[in-house]
Amino acid sequence: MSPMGKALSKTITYVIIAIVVIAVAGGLAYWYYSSQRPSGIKVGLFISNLGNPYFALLRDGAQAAVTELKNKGVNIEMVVYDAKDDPSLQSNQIETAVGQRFSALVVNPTDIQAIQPSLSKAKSAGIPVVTTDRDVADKTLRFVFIGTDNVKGAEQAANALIQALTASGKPTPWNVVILNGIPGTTAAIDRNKGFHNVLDPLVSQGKVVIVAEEVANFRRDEALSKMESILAAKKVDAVIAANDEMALGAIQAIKGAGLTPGKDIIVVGYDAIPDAIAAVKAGEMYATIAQSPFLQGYWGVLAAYYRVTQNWNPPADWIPTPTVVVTKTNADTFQQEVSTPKPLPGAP
Amino acid sequence: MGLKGTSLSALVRKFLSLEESKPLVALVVLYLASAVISPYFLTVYNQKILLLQASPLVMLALGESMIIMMGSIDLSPGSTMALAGLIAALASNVYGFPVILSALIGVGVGALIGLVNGLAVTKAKIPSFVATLASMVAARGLVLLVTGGTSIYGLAGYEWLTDETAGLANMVWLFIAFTALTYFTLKKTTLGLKVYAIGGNEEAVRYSGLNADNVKIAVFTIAGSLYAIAGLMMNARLQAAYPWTGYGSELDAIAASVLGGIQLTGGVGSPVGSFIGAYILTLISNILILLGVNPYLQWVVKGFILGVAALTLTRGLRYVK
Repeated sequence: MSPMGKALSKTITYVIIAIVVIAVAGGLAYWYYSSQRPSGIKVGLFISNLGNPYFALLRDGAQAAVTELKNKGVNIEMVVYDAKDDPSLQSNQIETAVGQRFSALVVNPTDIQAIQPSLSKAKSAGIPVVTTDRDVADKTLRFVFIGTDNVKGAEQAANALIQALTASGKPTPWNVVILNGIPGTTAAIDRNKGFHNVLDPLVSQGKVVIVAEEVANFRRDEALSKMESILAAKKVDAVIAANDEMALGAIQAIKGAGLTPGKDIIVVGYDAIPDAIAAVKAGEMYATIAQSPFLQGYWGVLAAYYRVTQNWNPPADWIPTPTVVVTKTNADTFQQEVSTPKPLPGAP
Repeated sequence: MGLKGTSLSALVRKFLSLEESKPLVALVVLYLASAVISPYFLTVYNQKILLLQASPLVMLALGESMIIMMGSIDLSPGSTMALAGLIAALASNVYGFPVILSALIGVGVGALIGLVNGLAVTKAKIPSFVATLASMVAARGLVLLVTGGTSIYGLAGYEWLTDETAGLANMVWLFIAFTALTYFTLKKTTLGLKVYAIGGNEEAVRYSGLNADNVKIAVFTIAGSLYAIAGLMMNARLQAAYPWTGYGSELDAIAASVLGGIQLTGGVGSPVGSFIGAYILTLISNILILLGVNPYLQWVVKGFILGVAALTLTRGLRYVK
């Protein structure tokens, strides 16, 4: 071997040694750093679709809780993941977070079934999970669900409808149309139940007649066609729809029939989407129901924090978030109303 | 007496030889049956809403039937109408273009999707089922991406379509005009002749030196424009660009074509048939609601009626694929 070659092989040897030393030192530093991690709380927030304003509010609520805890001197940080409504992407995000040893996960599932395998991994790693807005099918995979009580919200909607009918002075029995959502979905089932809880007793008292009950699959165009056909055969005093899209479709049909929505026929929706709020302000829709995504996020983080620090057990495995009836009087202010932090029920 | 009898039977025979005769008989039977079982069916209001509800579907069925006549299939009508309607709404409501120009832009978007479909089928040699499935999914995705799932509301300037001329909404006159135009194109022009020829025997068309690819591209583009007009009609009916407009409508468009006597194997049928088919579908939904049939049972009854109607249409055929 030439002297040149000897020098070169020597250099290579040094380089290799240097790399090994750096790698070992780095590994040790990382190990030390990650073993120190549990002193701070790291919460993962998994959102089904941040492009939807509703879930953006959920994120804002969670952020508000983190800021509040930080101001109290708690060492907490939160990482937000957006699944863009893709269940497989969300599963990957959750699995990655489990590998990074997050302290707790606040999950807004894209799908109540598809999410389960990844949540099982969190469970076996001993990471507590809170579900928000949508629950998972297997309720043992999370310690608490924080979401809307749709039955109660629908009862509020139906009560608002009756209130408006009473105030209108229309003669009883009132002819009511119910527009239902996609059969089998939790929202459709619960809201239908809530409507009937209020309306059925009035039907047996002879004050209300349900002249038609149709499935319009939460869709505006279907509700338009169905309501048009209903108006061809029936005299209608009021419409109650399981979401705003259907209520707005019904309003189009009412206008098309030469009637005035809000006056000839009273319409109540659900969800408080911007389009519906505009209709409420215009007097075309009497009321809609607003949920509290902000509180879902806010309470979600607080629940996770209490679970991690004090092994908190919630009073029930479902903490319902409030629903607010939006009418002309609070159409401008309800957003603030539902975006104000409130104490978590049963908090230690 | 004998002479009169023969001329009458000749007339009947002539009517039955028309390719629109069977769908027309089916429509008349359903019409009479509906009039008998519901006193509300024949009211002026109900007849008007039937026409309004049929308008977008007729436009979709016209486009779809041209493509089926070539022996292809198009799954993109529903998504195309949604995207075209959305772009038109964006142009007028967000970017402040005049409504007429916005509507033309919408039609342009529909034509563009049709062009892409046509190129995919002819140049990239992707089967039409797959090519249009791809554009159906992608176009719906674009709509949701742009809107985030919420409607564009407060649309102004679409009143012309719902305003009435001589007792009927302008959009009804529009679809009648387009039905006539499509009929003329298919029956009286060389383009129409080539469409039937491609559907009948594409190999023969190609061997005879005709450019079948250009015909296909042209027809897909025309169909896309027709879907776009359906999207504008839905904008007018909802006074909003609703992102789920036309979701699942491709199946209605195909069903309307089949009910109109257009064979999925291609080469046979009339656009007037697809118009009748679209009307039959609308009528069935309407009468079931007028009667207050249980919503779940409505689907069963609808499926049953479709099956029976299809059965009567294929009577006398040697075989079907």
